[in-house]
Amino acid sequence: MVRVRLRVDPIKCKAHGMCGELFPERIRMDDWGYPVIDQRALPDDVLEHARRAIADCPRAALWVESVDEPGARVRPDDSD
Amino acid sequence: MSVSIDAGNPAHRLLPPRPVPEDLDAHLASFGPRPQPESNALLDALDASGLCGRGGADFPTGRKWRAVNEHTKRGGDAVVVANAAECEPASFKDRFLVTYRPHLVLDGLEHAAETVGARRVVIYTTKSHSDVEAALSAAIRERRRRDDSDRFIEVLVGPNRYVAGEETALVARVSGHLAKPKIVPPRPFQSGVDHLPTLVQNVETLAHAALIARFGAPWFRSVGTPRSPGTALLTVSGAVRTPGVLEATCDTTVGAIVDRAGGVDGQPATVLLGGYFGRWVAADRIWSKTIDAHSLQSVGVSLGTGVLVVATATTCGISETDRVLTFLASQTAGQCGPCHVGLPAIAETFHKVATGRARPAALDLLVRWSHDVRGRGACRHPDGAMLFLSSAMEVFAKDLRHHLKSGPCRYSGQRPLLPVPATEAGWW
Amino acid sequence: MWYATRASGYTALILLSASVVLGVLTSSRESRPEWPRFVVQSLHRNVSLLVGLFLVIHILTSIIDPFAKLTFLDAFVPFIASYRPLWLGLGVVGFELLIAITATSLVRHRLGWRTWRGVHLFAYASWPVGVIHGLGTGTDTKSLWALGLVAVCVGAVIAALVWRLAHAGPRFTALRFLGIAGSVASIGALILWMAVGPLEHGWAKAAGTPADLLARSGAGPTTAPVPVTHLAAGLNDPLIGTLVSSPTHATATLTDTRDRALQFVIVANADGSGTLTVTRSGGDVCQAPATIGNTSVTARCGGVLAAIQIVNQGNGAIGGTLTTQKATA
Repeated sequence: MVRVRLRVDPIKCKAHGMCGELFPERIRMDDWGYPVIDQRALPDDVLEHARRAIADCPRAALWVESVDEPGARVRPDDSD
Repeated sequence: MSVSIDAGNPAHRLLPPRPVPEDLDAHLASFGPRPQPESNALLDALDASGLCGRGGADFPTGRKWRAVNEHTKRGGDAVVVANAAECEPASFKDRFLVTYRPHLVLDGLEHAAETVGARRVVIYTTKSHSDVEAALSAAIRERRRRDDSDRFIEVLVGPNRYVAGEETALVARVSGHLAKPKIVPPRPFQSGVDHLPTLVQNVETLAHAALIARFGAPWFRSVGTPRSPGTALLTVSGAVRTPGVLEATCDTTVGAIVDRAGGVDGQPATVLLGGYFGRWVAADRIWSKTIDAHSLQSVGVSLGTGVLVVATATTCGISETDRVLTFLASQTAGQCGPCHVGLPAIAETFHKVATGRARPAALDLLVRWSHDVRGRGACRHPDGAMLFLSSAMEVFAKDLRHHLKSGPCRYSGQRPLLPVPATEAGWW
Repeated sequence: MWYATRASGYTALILLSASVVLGVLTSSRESRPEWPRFVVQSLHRNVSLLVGLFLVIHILTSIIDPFAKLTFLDAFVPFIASYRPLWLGLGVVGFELLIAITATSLVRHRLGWRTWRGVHLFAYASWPVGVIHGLGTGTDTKSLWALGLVAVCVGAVIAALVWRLAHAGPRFTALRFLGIAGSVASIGALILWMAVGPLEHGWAKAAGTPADLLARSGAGPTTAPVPVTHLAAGLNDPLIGTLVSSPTHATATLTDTRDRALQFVIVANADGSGTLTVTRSGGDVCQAPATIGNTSVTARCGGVLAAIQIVNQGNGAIGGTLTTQKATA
């Protein structure tokens, strides 16, 4: 099972704020509306929220990557 | 900035003994012809030498060249870009090196191109350094006339913006796009100019590599320290009598270096080391420390781009920081929210503190915000700026409280120590 | 069935307007505690899908219903329909834009934001196209409830646009001002167009409603119904009938397939002369001398020129096409 964490592309992100609403467990908004994402590995019970945040981001700026192999993107619809 | 090359030091390697630009003949007289070592041999020599990048990142050079080599070994092209941009306003070493010893830099560049199998070879400079462009073009023409190498070296001029010298921004510009940073991964050695594996190397590093190719790793390590072998170029400025570019072995103390720059005009109070992404540190903590990486780390600083600015007690560290912070905030690429929104907000708040128009809560706000923006940009611009800011808030803590309460101090209006260039509008 | 078409059409318009308003709200990044952004976005998506559903119903029912004689092809190729081609065609354009927008939105993550957005901006084109389509083709356009409905939809969308433009960041001031001015001006333009277009007498004909529909419905904007005793102009009807030949003359008896009460009797004499007799339900409409050509017969019936093309199908069976136009002289 791949350990993953949620990442945001800061260039694509335009502070729409959906992710913070959908995944407040791991995402909080800074004072300017941009997401601060907890970089720890995501436990299984919150993965669906992560996937929803990824799918609903208007700029498709979120993705999950493997903790052990940074840079290896895990497709948002992969099931573990 | 006056042309002052310290000719007294016997450890001269990179800088010529006299401030006279070396043409090809003089270069060959100094160093002999460029050898053509086998790639693996040169890579081994670089590894053994312990040479690390002099563009600020201090990354082991041998490892960097090997990484690109790995990608081209499987077939395919690579690109080598020499970074002569020197977008750090207080740094002059790269310009000096290119002006006085261009052929040493070009030798290093050719070694790199041969070792990684590069099809395209570029040396990158900025619009505001037209003398650099001229010196390079002249040197390249000389070499072509001499038919020393049939390799075509391209001189490419980019915008003079602080982030334009960042690796991925440079790669973007060489690829024909705007000079703005991109997220990593992939790093340039994996996918850089036109998606080819790209080696980006500072010109001082390339000059050292050229010497290692001629004289070997043991020679390189014969001076300096085990962690920081060889010599380094520094730009010494501030309250010193003869500011300029110096070359020093890495076991030289900060105090000794400042002495070679004519000594301090007054009593040293603080030192800015590394550039605008560097840190302020109390002079007495660093004066007897060598510029070896471990030694500097013990006081929480690093050599960075070799910028060393000495400030006395009559320098207002707060107004200097204020100006530089405002400059850094104006230099964002405008791509990443936390940086291009956060840095101006932070700079403005700090300015209010500096001019006595803020409430005490502003200090907490600065600390909180400076933690918030770190690591949240595509490049390290916000990180570097915040390192600079937090070191200022620590070293000038007393002055900060004074400014908060009463506004500018009696030294605030003095001639500024740290240069802040006029911002260029474009990204091309 | 035509009621189903009209109902689903107006429903689709309401939903599309709602979708545009929600879309504008989503992009504005406004949020309230009761209305988190992801809810607004979710609503926008779901409403848009409903628009698609009702559009499909709208199109299918319009094809199935024999009233406007629309074919499947008419739903996908704009401006070729026989019923109000221009205004119907606009509906086709709007429909196809919405197909593109929906399709790209479903695979948004694979396309990249720029491509997706480029297509999505056409939503700003598909909505006015839909509104104008509805006003131009709508049978109900003149009725109060329909006008009220359209006014509310247009008002809501324009209000949302103006609000969004006014609340945008400090950049692009000139563009925003133009956008607001343009949106408001377009309402004025719409009202003017309505006054001289769909709300005027004679619109159905001007819009391209086939004449037989005008005649039949009688509820067309012309105040007087077409008199039964005259032959209508603008007809283009298939005929079927029989041909009986004798040494001296030939008699063709034809019935209009679109208007089975209308009958034509052509008598062609050996000397080249002939007559055309037109009857409706047995009663005389007109009788006139006819010019007999090889396959065509022309005659003047009151103020109308009638031409009948005849195709001999063998065994005495014939087919033909009747075209009528206003006589000029």
